[in-house]
Amino acid sequence: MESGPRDTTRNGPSTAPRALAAADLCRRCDPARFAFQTTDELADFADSLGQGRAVEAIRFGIGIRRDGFNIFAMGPEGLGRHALVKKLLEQQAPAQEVPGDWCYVFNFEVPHKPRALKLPPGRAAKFQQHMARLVEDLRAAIPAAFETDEYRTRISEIETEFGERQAKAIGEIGERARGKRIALLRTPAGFGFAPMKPDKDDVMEPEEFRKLPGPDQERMQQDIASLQDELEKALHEMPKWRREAQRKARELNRQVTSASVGSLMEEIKAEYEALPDVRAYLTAVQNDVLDRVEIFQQPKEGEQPALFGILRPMEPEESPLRRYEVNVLIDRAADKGAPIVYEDNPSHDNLVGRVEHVAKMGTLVTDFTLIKPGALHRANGGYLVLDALRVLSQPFAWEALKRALRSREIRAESLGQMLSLVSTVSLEPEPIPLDLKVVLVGQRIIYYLLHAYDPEFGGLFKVVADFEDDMARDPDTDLLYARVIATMARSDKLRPLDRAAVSRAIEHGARLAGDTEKLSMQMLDLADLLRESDHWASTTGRPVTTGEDVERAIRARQERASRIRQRLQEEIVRGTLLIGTAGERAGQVNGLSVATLGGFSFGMPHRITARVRLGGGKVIDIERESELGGSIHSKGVLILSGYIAGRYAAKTPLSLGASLVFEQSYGGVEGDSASSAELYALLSALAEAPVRQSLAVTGSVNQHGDVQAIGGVNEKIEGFFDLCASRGLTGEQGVLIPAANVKHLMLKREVVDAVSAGKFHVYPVASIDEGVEILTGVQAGQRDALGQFPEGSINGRVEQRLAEFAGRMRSFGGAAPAARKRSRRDRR
Amino acid sequence: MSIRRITVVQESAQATRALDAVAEAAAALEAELTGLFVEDVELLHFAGLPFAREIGVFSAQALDVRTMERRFRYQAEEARRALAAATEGKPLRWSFRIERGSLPAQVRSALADADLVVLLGGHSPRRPAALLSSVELPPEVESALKRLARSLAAEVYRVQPAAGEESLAKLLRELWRGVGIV
Repeated sequence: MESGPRDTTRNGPSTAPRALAAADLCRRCDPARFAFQTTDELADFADSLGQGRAVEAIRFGIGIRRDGFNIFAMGPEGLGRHALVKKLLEQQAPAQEVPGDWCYVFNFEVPHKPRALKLPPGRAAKFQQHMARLVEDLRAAIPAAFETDEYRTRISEIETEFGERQAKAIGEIGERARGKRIALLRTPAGFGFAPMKPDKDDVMEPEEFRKLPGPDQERMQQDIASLQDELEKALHEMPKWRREAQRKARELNRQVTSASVGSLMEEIKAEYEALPDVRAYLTAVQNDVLDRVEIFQQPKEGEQPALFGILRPMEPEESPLRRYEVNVLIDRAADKGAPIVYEDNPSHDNLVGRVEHVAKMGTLVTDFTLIKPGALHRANGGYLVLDALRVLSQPFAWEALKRALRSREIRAESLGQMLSLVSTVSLEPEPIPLDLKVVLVGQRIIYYLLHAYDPEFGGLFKVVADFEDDMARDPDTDLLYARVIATMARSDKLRPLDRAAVSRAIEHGARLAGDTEKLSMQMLDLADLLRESDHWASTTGRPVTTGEDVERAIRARQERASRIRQRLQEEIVRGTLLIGTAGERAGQVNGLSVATLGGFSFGMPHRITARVRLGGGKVIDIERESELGGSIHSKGVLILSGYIAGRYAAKTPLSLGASLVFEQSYGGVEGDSASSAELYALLSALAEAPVRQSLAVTGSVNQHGDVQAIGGVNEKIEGFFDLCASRGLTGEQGVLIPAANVKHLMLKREVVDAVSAGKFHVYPVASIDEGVEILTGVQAGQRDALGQFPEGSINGRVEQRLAEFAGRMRSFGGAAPAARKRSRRDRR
Repeated sequence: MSIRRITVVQESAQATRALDAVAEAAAALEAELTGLFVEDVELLHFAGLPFAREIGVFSAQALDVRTMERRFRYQAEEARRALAAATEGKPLRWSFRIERGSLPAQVRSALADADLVVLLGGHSPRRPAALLSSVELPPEVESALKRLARSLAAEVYRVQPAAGEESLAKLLRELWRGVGIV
């Protein structure tokens, strides 16, 4: 510790702590401690630094093969969660079995529910080829069977039989008609009967008919009527005969083709001896082929092949052979070990797959060949890594993921189908059994929120891998950190870093952690710092990145982000924002706040003022009254009342009216780190003791007057230092910080240099008494044996002032409530 | 002597492939092709009877001359269209005409004009086609004719120029058992 600004106060020995020595302000990393010259000499660091807990958790999660033991890797961005998860999975996955291939095939029984077939890895594509070849072979074999003389003879027999049967039936009626001199005529759409001329076989003309005697006409009409009845009966039989002929023809087709189809099918079935599902499918194919042999015949151009119209008309774009195709969903021919899939865009469809549609004749149609796999299909049998926030922000993706994990099957259906938004021809593909491990990577808040609000979450993600934000810093870890830096530099193809550069980067790591005893695990930030340093090294043409380059990168980064900080400081220097850095004033203290904008944090001083008067024992927090203060700030102010009442007015009514305000603050104020500053302002106002404006204060306070730790101590000190430096350092200036924050000091070099030159001071303060002495230069004072504070001490003056207020209150007629009542009466 | 003129007797738009083969043969022989649609007078007589009824496989209905004429018009238009489609893109002169009369008389008069008359099967696939010619065909066109006959599954008949309507009607009845009287 070096000497404080004064060793004695104005009335008595000082109990105030001394200012911190320069060495306490920043724990340097001495480059001389490292044995290497540049990071090129350091071995790669393959492990994950300081994430032992998370690594263990992930390994456990990977190892345990039970339902629901999916992993949630949580921690802030930039810790390298994704990289670590990937690395651990890559260590494990190759040793595991390659899962099977999956295909979708046509379901001959229920066409809208395509069947899923599992094949050994790498076999799906071959199966697809086999089926394609089979169809080709069938297209050759089946028409060939129809070309044989045997078939031709037999089909023509059937045709002839039908034709003759027809002709015979009609012919007989024709003959009978002729016997009665009546002709049977073939009309465009059927048959008709007409009387014949007496002398010729021609039809009698209508005039001639009318000239016939009435009885003849009548007789002929009667004959014709009975012939018509006969013909109608005969014609009604014809559809039945036609059906019979068709059935015979179909049976013949089946007989003729079954031999050639059978031999082809046996060939392919032999290849899939060990796969009962595939064999069952092939049997179904065989039956279907035999039922629909006609689709293998090439229709003759411009003419429908006419076999009594058995062949159904075909749409030109419809390929009837599509039903024998194989849709290879997952092909693992090239895979080695279990798959690891990272889905960058985990939308509903990208997770569970989708059924696509094509426009045909103005409508949307689909079939099993249009089923597309999702990430769950691709990762099935292995690992799926997803970003939690992205899953949650995609509509229905989270629900779909949970449903798949819960039911342990993947149901490929598009979102529109799931929500019944589209009503078009659709499919219900057979669900595929799911066996995979999901690793969700996300922020801690997401994990805790899901755990609290989603009752299913806990059961599905039983393994939590909690990443550390920082790690303990000691000489050993400094060296490990150096190796991490070396590894990063190499993998990013950066220049090697010299010892000084590594040291500076380590100091930056500690500063990011906001702790001398910790190193930040923000690997993303570290990697960026290395890249930026490398850039600056490249501008100077150095082959090695030096400490100077790292320093420049850090400064340049701050410079880029610090426009607002500079503007605020400029306005203080110009006197627009009133902040004193010299002189003294009662009831006015420089508080410090931290603002974070776009990831850049900086500290700024604020003027805090207090006014006191006779009152009802209430400290008015103007921030709160004007609804600019947050609840934590209000709590801090209420603690002040507790402290003052308890310490100075334990036996008398607290007849104080006080108001506190952050001057020139137009935004919100939150946090209690200014509560000690507010208390100093209040005590100074009560004691009428001027406060040194060359000092700024941070720290929260409890009801006993202990000063407690706050966050952002480095930014706050530097914020006030920068202001003082721009006005010129006087040697009087400094900052009071909670003693508990000393271990967090990683101040920038300028501050450390100024402190070592005696131009700036940082005071570690444990209690309000210590702080008030430094600020006022007056002894705080402790109660003596009689319970009295020393005359002239701050505490004595405060107590005296409060006693005066109480006395005055009494002279108004007693306690505060009575006083209020009376004043109300007076008004009446 | 070669074939200069071919008349194809069409019943309707059916048998487009056969019509194609005829058009092809006509193009190969560099002959002029005429499509002939005969409005069978027998059917008109029949339709003129007060009790005329057409009995089909599915239905039976009364007929009159106007209905029959309308059917003829429709069938003739179909036949013309089929012929136009068959001749399209072929280097060929063609025409189409509609005649009313008895079929044998019309075939006979066609035989007088043309070197070859092709009778196409009508709406029944069972009705065979036939090639009729009243002239002596030279051997050099024989092969083209045979090819045509094969693709139509038709027989070639030599018809005597002096043959009367009666004998032609008999031939037609044997061939078709249908147009006109079964």
